[in-house]
Amino acid sequence: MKKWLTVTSALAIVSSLLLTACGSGAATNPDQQAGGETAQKEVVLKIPHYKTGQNVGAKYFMGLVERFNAAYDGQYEVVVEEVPQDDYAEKIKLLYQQKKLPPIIETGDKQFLEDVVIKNGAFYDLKPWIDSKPELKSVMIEESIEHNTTEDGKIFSLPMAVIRPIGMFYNKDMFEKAGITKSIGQMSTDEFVQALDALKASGVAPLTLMTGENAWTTMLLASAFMANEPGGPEILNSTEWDYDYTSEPWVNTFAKLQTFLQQYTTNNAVGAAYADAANNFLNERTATIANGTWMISDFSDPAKSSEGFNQKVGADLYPGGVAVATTYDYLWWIPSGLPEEQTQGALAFLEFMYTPKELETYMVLEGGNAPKLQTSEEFESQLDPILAEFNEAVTNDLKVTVQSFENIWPPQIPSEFGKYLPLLADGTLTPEQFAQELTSKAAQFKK
Amino acid sequence: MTRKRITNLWIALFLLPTIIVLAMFYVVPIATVFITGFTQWNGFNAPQFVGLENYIKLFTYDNTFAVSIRNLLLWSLIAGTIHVGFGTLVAFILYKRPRGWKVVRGVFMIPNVIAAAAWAIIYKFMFNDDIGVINNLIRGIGFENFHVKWFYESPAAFFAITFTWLFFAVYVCLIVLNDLMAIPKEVHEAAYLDGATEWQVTRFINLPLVRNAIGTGVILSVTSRIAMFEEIQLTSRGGPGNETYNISLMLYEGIVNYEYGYANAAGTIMILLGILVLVLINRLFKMNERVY
Repeated sequence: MKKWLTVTSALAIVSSLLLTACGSGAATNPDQQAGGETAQKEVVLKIPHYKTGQNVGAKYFMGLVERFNAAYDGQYEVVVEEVPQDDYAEKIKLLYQQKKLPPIIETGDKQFLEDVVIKNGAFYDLKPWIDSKPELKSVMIEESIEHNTTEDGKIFSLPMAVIRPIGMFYNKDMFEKAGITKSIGQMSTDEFVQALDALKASGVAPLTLMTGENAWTTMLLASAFMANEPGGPEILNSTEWDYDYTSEPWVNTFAKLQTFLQQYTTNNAVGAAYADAANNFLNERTATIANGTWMISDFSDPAKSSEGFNQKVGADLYPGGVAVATTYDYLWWIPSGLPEEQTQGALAFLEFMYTPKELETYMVLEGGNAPKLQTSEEFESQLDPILAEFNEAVTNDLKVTVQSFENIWPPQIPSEFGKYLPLLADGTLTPEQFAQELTSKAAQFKK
Repeated sequence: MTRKRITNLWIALFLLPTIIVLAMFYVVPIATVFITGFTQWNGFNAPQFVGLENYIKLFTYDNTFAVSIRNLLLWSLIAGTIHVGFGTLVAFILYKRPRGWKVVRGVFMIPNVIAAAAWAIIYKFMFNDDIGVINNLIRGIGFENFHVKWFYESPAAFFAITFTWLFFAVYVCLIVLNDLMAIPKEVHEAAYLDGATEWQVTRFINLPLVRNAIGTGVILSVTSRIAMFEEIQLTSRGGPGNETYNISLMLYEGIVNYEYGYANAAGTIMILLGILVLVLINRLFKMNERVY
């Protein structure tokens, strides 16, 4: 009897241990799975995002969240979970697998969106909502509406209202010291290289380049130079992925890039991440940086640059009157299958984002122009002088707009581009070999 | 039922939970890795059988696999000789219990307590051309024009990554030291009585008696090179180009590109390489033979 009692107790203990170990995946509240809790009145929209903290987009985005929460106090509240920018796309994919997508998502991995989300119809169709709001639809760019419309007529993500051409910033003092008087956007590529020589002769590193991460500033400059190659704009403005980089425009661009990396940039460009590159320009170690207008706020941020630095910065197009921009992009989308109150909250957030006041706030802080929006009288006066200078350059000197490499490359290639750039920079690879290596890599991802 | 059969039944019953856990967390995942290595699987849809396509892609798409195997062989050779050799040397020194040996043993352990990812970041700064201590030290001793971008030039990147683990041999040291301390004193006393010198005792008694510990150290070290990931991903990311790739990076690429079939094919190769290392080292060090 005693023996049986002992054995039975031992079995009971072991079984309970096993059950405890296996029973940790209890179902959660479906509201929590969808990214929010339903309080008595207020619907909480929990979203992960990277435009927080020190990120360049934080000033606008967190301000937008604050203003939305104030406007919808008691009805909706957006709560942002901070995620590193590099991890955002992966986080979204992970949440998709777990069926725990947040109520509002900004883009994510383009290939994942097209191959999985759109293909499986895992998104909320925005068309009926957009069609029911004529004032909202009136600010949207036609090409973007078309790009965001699926084959069966659904609208996958919020079409763009604002185009943000990307140019470059330059240090006016350094340009003056080097004797450069002509506007960059009005220069030919040869004149630009002469300007680089003049800057170098005056003792400064002309270009801010980087090979770390996705080699962002390098990629922008290279895209702009390819736009000046015969056939370049046609390649860059394709709506399909490009897998072959061995044609002449590509090779010529890589050859120029090799020269820039070898002769016209800082020692730490090889291996530099975006933070290092931005630091170089903000601390006046370089004379120019290719980047978007969202960087303008950094020039007057005491944590990032010296006092009065913003007075020294000018903004212009790339040589040849080139700007880098795209309307073939996805922005904000809402996953399907959410509780109704979450969906309505997400739609309210998107609608708030596209009110004329918010669009103007966006353009004041991050630049760009909304071709279909009638801006207010105060709008121009609110613009940062650097932004106003850039807008003027766009109005007067813009000749061609092209997409950047990352818009026409498979998503894996920008990272490979950064990894192979050191070999291009130190001459281990010729431009032709560099082109061939990238093409071989891209072939792996060809569908 | 006989008493023996009843006893065996109870043994089986008590072993059952362990076997279930082992099956759930080892056998089933390994079998899944092996089987899905023959499929195309993006993690969202059901796997589709594609035969050897993933392995063909691994071996032939470009030279990345060949470079990975080359790096693995070189790192394994360095690990099995220099890394284990250093750990063994430190163990033999500590065995003599010089002054402060306990402090040295403690300090030697510190790097292994720090996470590999943290070390990778630290090394990235140490090897930085502008602000890194390594290059500034070299420039300080007279080589003023010394500029090497350690993680971004070939072959410097290979050596820089090697340095992130080469001298952190505390596990080898502790295993060997433990075996050394287990050698009966009588064996040494007998040897000294017979006129053996210190070197003869080390060479003909201690070293053979710690053979299994050294073999274990080599297995641990070489299998760590097969699985090495943070040290590469957080420094050179496999670059410049694909110069510092290894198979674990190919596996990681498969995961982030949602090609789980491809990633699991790489995983299968890693498992097979690990088994091969185990068998080879066992034979080389005669680890199944009695030491005494």
